[in-house]
Amino acid sequence: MKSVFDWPGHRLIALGARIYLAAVFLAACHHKILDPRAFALDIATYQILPLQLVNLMAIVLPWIELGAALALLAAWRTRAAALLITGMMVMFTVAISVALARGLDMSCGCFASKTATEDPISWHTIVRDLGWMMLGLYVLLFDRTPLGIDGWHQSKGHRWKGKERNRHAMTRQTKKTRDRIRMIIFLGFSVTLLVGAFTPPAFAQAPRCEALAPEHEKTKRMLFAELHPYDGCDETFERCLATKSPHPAVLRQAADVCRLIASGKSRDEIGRALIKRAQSLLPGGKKASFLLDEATIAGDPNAPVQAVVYACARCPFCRVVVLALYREVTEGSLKGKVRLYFQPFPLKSHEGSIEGGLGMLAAASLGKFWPFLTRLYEDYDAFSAERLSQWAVEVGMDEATFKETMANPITRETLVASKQEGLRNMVDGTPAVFIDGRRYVYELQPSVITDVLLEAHESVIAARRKQ
Amino acid sequence: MRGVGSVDARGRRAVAVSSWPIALRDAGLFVLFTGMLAIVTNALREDGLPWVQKEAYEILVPCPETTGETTAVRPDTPLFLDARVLIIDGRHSRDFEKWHVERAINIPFDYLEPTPSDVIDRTASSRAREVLVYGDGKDPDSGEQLARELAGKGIRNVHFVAGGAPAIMAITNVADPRAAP
Repeated sequence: MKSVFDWPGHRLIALGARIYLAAVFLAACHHKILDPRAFALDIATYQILPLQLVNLMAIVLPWIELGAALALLAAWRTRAAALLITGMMVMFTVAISVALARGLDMSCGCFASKTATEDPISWHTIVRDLGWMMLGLYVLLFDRTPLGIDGWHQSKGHRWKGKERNRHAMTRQTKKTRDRIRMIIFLGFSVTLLVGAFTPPAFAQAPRCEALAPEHEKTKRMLFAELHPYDGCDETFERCLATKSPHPAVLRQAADVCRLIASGKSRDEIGRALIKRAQSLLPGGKKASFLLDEATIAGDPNAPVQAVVYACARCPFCRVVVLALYREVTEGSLKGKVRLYFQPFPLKSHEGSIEGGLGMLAAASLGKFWPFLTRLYEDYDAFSAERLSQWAVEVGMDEATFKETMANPITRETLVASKQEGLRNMVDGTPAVFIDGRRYVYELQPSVITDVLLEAHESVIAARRKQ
Repeated sequence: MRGVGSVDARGRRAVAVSSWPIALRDAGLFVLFTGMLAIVTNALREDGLPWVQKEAYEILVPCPETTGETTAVRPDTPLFLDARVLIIDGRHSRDFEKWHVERAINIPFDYLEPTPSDVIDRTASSRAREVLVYGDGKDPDSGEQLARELAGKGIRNVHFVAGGAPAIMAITNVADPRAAP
């Protein structure tokens, strides 16, 4: 009796599904193979794999996607390819679900490496991935005589060699050949592992114009001939840089453009990035207003540029940004140039954010804000409400006084006021950085924020000289 | 379903495509070969990655406050008169007791604590066509914040009254809010 699996229409439907899935996976692996570092960052952002496995996954996964896509397209080892595709879709769906459950606002990295605003994870992403998984399953279960190499093999009466073949019928010569093939595969794999393990990989060149890889030189020339810096010069980058002593702001922007070129950004993305950088620096629009507590200041109080950061005690990204900025203003390149203020902005989705915020404010009123905050962020994974007083003691506060201050209703009111102020200033997530009252809307890497702050400092100094 | 080794009407082997164990084996070989290719390519390319990352990646994605899209409506909105609209007063309970719009229920908004899930569930299961929230009318307005939080929790068609309770009280003759008994 014929079963549903035997319907001849399956092979045509499956052909469409195979071509579609292959196209999706070819598109997905293309950028990942070209820019494994960006893909590794995408994987790391999910915070699921241990750090030791992130790079290996970023190196290998795109090639598996490529192999599976090509195999599906050619209908060669179709079921194996469909099995891999389905398995990968299960893995991606689980990863996205975990990220969503954690409230991460990030790019899915599916077609690496768009930003969170361009390709954010959502329940739609899960539905989409489940759809692709179902297509993979369809091919796996129903494409029994695929149009392609497998089908051709069948029509010629070929069969796969494998367990279904009668081993006893195998001749001695065949066994020898098979053993040799196995040995070659084993040796090849071992050699590959050794080569990979002992070859020191060359790291990406420093993201500056003079160190751009040759393949990016052409893009640089094209963009420099076309784009204008937003400050420091009215001509194109090419002409501005050709002057005897280019404006420092132009040099910074040019270096940033080169960094973006090196990271594989397109012309449009670089154009948009420059606009965001400009919005973070240039005057315009209403400035944010703050009620700042001098106890939360870091760096020189007389530094000409003011940076304010709204952050949550339980936001992992705040930890990176705040600690980096703190180091920069106290002992790094921003020392004496930027004064940094911290404003607590506890997020409702983060467990412990209120206790952490109250702890910060208690430490501020006891004169130990930054020692406590750095302790809290440095030992981020060990956080618990009970640990707060232990850390308070470690940085020199009296436990009873700290607890009492934390429990004081005024501390809670101050925390609410800080959150309300953030909402007035249109803060909708953390970390939120403001430079001299203007919302910083550019990239959140500390090195980029530092670069923009240095540019802000140079602008302030230049304006003072003019006066 | 034809199994491995079965023969079709033409006397041909039915299963050209591998059976499950064979498919698994082939998938394993796929991973092996593509993995080898990936590792060799990575070793040869200039911008190859080290196998093991020693320093943590700077994962810099902002943590969002979970909120959703809402619309502002005027204090004289006819939605107040629609029985299918759920009206929520987001102010403190003592303010609610002093005065509130007729039919309004009180869900006091807290800037720090999330709105309890049972309250969200009750709101979601109210079968209201739309949800209209008003708050204290301050800057920031507790009504707007509560509306955004409700929308962020998946409740649809949430509006907030621009200006909150003070704006509604100023035009009581239009919206017809009455003092609570």
